[in-house]
Amino acid sequence: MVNQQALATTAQPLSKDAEFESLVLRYQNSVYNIALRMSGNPDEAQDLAQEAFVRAYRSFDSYRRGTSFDKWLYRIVTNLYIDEVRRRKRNPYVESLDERITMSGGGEVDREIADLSHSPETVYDREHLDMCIQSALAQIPPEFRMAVILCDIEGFSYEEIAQIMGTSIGTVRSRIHRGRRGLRERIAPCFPARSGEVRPT
Amino acid sequence: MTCNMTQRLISAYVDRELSEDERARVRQHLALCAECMAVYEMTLEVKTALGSMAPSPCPECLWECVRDQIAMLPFQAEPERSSRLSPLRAVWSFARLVVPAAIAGTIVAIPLVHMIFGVSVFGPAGPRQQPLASSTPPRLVITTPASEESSSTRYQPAGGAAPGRTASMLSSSSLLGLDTAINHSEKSDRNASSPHEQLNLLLRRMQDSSFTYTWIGGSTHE
Ligand SMILES: [Zn+2]
Repeated sequence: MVNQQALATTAQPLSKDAEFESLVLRYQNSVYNIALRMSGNPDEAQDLAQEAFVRAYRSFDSYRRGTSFDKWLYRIVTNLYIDEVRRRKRNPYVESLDERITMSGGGEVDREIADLSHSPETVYDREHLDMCIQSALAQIPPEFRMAVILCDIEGFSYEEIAQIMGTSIGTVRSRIHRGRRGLRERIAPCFPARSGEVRPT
Repeated sequence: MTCNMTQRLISAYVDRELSEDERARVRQHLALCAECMAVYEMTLEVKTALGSMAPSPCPECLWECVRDQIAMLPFQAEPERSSRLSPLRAVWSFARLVVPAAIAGTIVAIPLVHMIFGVSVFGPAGPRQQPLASSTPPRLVITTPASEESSSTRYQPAGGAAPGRTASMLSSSSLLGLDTAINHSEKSDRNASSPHEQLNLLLRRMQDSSFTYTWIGGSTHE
């Protein structure tokens, strides 16, 4: 048995695994964060992040060294999530901005939206505010959501987002424009004091 | 520039993703149009709100879970990997097949040898014991090389005997992390013509109790 274990560890090309581990440790927080903002659900985010890393490992040999690992990784996350949404929902393009996206987590996000939007006395509590924004995010189509997250949370340029999402800069511009337009009215209730004068800029 | 066009460019304006020309035209329009200015401010608010969200650190177990899942990968059927099997992986695949078989062989062989020939592979009082020495010929030396790679016990005539005389028996002690080779130090094997006969002869001699055990790690026989 000792023999088997010794063989099992030496059979792995250590340099590759060590390199991969260091990359995972470096990017796991941002990958998880993107997954969380996309899914709105910590459990789902963890599954998504894990699956993304496992896929990344499997095709790690095809990843060209020197190219940006994070973009390559976020592309895997993006494709995974959008494929997952498509798989769950037969016809993703039918969903409009007015339609609520039900979360796999059991609609908790929807309930939070309702609570917050129906209570104008919502406080400027950081946690509540984040939940409110998260709820707004959940209501826009996944492609718009991903583009906006990559732009506003991860700080990528349109060109980088186009690379990550495998699309043109023009499409990215359109997605961000429409995504933010959808978010404008939904985020407004998160700032109840914004009746005219106070504005967090 | 119309309000409609301006509002379509506002997001890119906020992100500084417009050409200098477009940028100047949007700026001009915003200076004159309150409605578009309001859209601009709300857009900026959305961007600020998203950027201000507290980052959630990933669960501590994330890497561990990934590592566990990865550890299970190499043995799954994976078409793009099987084509380029690394030498180490090939050794491992081979070992996976051979090692259990060798262990099973050992488990069977040790009592079998003991039963049939009345010989304990470990010597009179079990392994790691320094047995009594006897220098009477013919002498048989049981050695345990440190190498764990070989999984067969070799009954090898020492002293320049022909290679054909070597009897090999599929009896491994890799289960115990040691490999037993019995060196038969007889000058000539007059009667033994086949490896099997030679082995029998050898074991018969062993029963005559005129042999010596030598264990690696212990001192050699006198
Ligand atoms: Zn205007």
